[in-house]
Amino acid sequence: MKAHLKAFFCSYADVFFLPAVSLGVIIFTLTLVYPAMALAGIIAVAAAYGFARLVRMEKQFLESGYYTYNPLLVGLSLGYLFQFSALTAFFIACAGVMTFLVTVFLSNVFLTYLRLPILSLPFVVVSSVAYLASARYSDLAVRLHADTAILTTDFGMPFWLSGFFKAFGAVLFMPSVVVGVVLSVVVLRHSRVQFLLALLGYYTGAAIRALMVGSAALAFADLNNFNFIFIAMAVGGVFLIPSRTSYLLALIAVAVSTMLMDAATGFWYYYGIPVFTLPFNVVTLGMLYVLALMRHPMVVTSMGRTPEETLEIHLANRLRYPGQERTLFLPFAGKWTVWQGFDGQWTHKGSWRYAYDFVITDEQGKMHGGEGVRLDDYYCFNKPALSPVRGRVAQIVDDLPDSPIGGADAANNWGNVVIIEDPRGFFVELSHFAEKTVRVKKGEWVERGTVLGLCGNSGYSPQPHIHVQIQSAEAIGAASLPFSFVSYAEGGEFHSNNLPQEQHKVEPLYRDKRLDNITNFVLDDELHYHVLRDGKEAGDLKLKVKMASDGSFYFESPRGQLYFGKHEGTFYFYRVTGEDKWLRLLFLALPRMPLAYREKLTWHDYVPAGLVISGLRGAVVGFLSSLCPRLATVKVTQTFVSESRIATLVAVGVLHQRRCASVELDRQKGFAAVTVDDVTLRRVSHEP
Amino acid sequence: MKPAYEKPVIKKLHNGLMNKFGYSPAYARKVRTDIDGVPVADLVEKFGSPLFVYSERILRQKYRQMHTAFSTRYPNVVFGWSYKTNYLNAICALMHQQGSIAEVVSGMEYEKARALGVPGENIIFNGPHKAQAALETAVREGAMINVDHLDEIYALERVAQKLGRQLHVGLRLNLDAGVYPQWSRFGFNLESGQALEAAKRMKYGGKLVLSGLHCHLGTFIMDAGAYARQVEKMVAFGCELEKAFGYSIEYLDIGGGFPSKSRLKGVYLPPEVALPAIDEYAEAIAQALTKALRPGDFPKLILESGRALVDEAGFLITTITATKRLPDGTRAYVADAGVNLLFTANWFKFNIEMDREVGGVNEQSVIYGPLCMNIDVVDESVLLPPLSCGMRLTVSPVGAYNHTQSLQFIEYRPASVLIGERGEVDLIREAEDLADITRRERMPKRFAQEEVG
Amino acid sequence: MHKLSRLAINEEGFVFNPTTGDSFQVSETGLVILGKLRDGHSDEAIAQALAEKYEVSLEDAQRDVADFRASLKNLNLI
Repeated sequence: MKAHLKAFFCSYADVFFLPAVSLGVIIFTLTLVYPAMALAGIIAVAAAYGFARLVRMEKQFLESGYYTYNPLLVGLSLGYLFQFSALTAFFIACAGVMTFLVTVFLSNVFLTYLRLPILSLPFVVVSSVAYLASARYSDLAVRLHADTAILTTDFGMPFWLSGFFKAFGAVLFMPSVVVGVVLSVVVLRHSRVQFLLALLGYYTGAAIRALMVGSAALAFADLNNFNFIFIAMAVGGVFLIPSRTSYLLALIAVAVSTMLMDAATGFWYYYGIPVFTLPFNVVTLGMLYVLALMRHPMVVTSMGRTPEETLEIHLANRLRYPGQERTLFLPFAGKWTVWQGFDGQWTHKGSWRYAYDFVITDEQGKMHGGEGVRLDDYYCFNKPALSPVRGRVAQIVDDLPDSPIGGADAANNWGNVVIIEDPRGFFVELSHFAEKTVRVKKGEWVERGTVLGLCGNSGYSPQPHIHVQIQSAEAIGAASLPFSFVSYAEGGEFHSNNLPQEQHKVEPLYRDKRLDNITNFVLDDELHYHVLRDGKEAGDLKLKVKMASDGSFYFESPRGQLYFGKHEGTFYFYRVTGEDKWLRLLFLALPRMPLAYREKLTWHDYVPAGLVISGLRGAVVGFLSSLCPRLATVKVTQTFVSESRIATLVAVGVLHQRRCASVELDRQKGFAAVTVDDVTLRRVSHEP
Repeated sequence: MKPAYEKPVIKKLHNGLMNKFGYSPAYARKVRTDIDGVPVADLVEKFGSPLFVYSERILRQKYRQMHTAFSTRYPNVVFGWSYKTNYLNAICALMHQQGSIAEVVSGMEYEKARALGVPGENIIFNGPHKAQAALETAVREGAMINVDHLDEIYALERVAQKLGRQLHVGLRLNLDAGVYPQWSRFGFNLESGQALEAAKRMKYGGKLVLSGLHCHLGTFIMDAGAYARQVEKMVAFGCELEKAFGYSIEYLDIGGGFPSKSRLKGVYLPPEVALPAIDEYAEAIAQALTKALRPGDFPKLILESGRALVDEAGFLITTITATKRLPDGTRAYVADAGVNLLFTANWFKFNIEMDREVGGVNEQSVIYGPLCMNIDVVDESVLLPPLSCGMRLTVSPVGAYNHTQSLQFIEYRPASVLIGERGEVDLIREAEDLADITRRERMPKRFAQEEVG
Repeated sequence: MHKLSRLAINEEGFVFNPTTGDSFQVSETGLVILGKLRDGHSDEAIAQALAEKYEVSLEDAQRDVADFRASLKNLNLI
């Protein structure tokens, strides 16, 4: 029952792209100003839901906002138009069912062929149909609008101000200043970005129309202006990451839509139907389609509950996860030096720009001892080259001689090579192996770290080095693709997934069994912590390991969820949801941990600003960060103080604040103690 | 200006006997006027004789070589500095600075490492004798303990009971890797199933969790293949344990035993020819590991090398204090350092270098130490020209075991110095005096000497 | 002196004992001492002469002469 109510109230908030039950309740209460209309809305939703249950689709119904707010809007529109009676109720119920059918049909088509959401298109379709049909239904009496004074008064506001509030209220078919003001306050409280966009959208659209139409009063009073509000909100903050770019695109979309709106109004007029949200849907979906097609980086991939949250997630993720999907381990053991990287100045150009060369250097930075004229003067000569991926060996060349120092075999550019097919859909090529040292055979399966052969100087190579690249085709010398390296240390700093810089010393870090075992959390594991603040009891934290429907694992407490996982050599806390402040501290203290230990190894991570800045400051930072993303950067620096202790430093740049945390690893599994500032979470120990 | 003086020597000529290696033994000279650029004479003048001298440059070079040899062949290598080889604080600190953790074999060595500031987690605690108190301290401080025998398992279980938690420990094995003599007195035997029984006992006890395997084959092992065989057996055993008891073997400690370029008595060829280079050992071990381990599994490889790192970095300067001619005509010298400082002279023939060019023909000579004990011989037979009193000899390589095994017997123990990479000389241990000898003695009243008058 | 006088000694320091067939190599200073011994000088006088001729102290010279005499005895030359 709770789920039903939640979905019902949420649908009211969904209209404004702000899915929060509390918001929905307030808005629902507003609609009760016109009780008949409110009832119409309820009937439509209930009818749609009843039908969904009949065809056993109630789960999808409750899960997606589109299924609830489209019939709601249909109900409200019909309730706005007609007097309430049994006949209208029946009519509304039919419309509700029809909305459900249209929603399912359209959302399937849109998703499959266009990969777009349907927004409120079903509402437009059904309401238009209903209005068209109703022209012939004499028994459905049109409602007479005898509203109370308070609902119609302008409070003496200038037309351009009252116009905004009326347009806002018009969304819910309640074009009244009072309603608009309440809605504005509610939206502003929930998301400053959303409100700003609403303002920008309305005034831009209305102003353009004012210029076009020739009369400001007329333009600003047009109730259909709510389309501009919604276009701006959707494009500027919901489907694109809120930023200066998205705001600009929003305004452009609004500008374009004015033309469409007037065209549609004019055309629809002949049929006696209003445009409803047709301009909004067409323009928003059109723009979204084009941007998604171009793979525009600003298109949202994971949506938050408000635009601020979306932005926060995006900023944190962009910083947290640099690097590519095509990942390699460094193809050697120990500390080597990057000789040439992507777009290197000597040979990594054109089709082969995405490649890395590695050598071994001594303390003076020299790549060889002695004179450097003999091959084995060079430190990396005849050192093992390891496989950077798991895969099947596709091709090897093993019989070319090593070129002398300075000389180079231009006929066989790549020298002795090993090409491995990675099941992820690409090929990895390593070249210049020493003559007859390749140890793997064609068709053999290799794991990360398998010795492939010895570093040599065959092919076009002035001196011994390991060359590695990724290519989409198997042939030797095929064009290279971009990639990144995982789980390595560069000058004492650990990188989960990144590209090292030229001249830097790097070392691959393979998974340490001890740390791996410590982070092997299994479903239904329970962890129990005492919370102490300044040494005094402050609470309890009981965690249980659960799995989400998408296969990801999380720690569940009564009030929140902390998602975690291990990926390619790093343990991550991915995100925290819910309202549990102790879980948030745990996330803050250890956003990620390398699964390999080196003395004094440091690493960086970024956390969403909302984790450390809350309240009014949080709201301001959230809003401003859409214009200046750097404000919301919260950098976390961590170090292994010992094999079982990690020290953490959180730098909240915008507040010039630094917070200290530490994590103590349990020898067996998990975290023995986590301290953030004056709060400590201490594990309750169990019997051996 | 009088002409230079040479001692008068007469030598019987034997026909046609030339040294196999091409130079005439009659005039071959081994002279060393300085160590790492610091003149021997200056060292003795400042710090006395005899004198242990260590070279930081050589130590660092040896460590780098060994570290590179292993780390470029296997991606998870840790070095544990074997304290018993040389536990001078400065030497240990140097090794820790380079990235080594500590390997100790007694409560005393454990305390020494802790006093140096090494955290418990960075100490490997081996050895057949671990007193209960030392064991408990080590457990509390998070040390890596490798169990040597069944009674130690009982002792650890008592500690676990006291602390109320499970303990992670390693198991020491002894196995047949083709090395003679097999050190079967340490740890649990693998081939006879003793080690498996020990693991079973641990599992049954429920208080100890096996997380590592340790095996130290011997000392001065000249066959790289022995390590390969050792690694193969250890990995196989580890897999067996993981399957049978669900343990996760996090580290493989293969001990040390790598040789230095010291000449073992009884070995015909000189060390440069007879001994494999460290890269050969690394290659054999790495190859055996990657072949035996499951793909993607890289447990920590721990190496407890001592001799191979420090031996060639250590020198002993000694002074000739007397010359003799024995009844059979052999030239004999008495030096101020003997087996009290060079215990390993029993097994090794050291390199002996003079401090200056000396004219004259070589004779077979014997060098005795200062002790009034017949066994005190530094070298029974070494070709030297006629030396006089006051001349210094530099004995090498003596960095391993000689200092730690030196005797507080008859003579004061000498100073030790470390020559830094820029030629700076630091005193790292003072010479002992009477107070060091008598400090711990207590006199029963009845023997106290009465004051005269 | 008897045995000494029978030895064949050349300026390079090569000594041959015709009685036994043994040959010996002797150093420059040894040569000087041998010569003086054959001439019948005493050890003290020889030491004195050495000290005067070479860069050596009297005590060292005395010791070395005594030592040399012992070597000669050992080799059955004196």
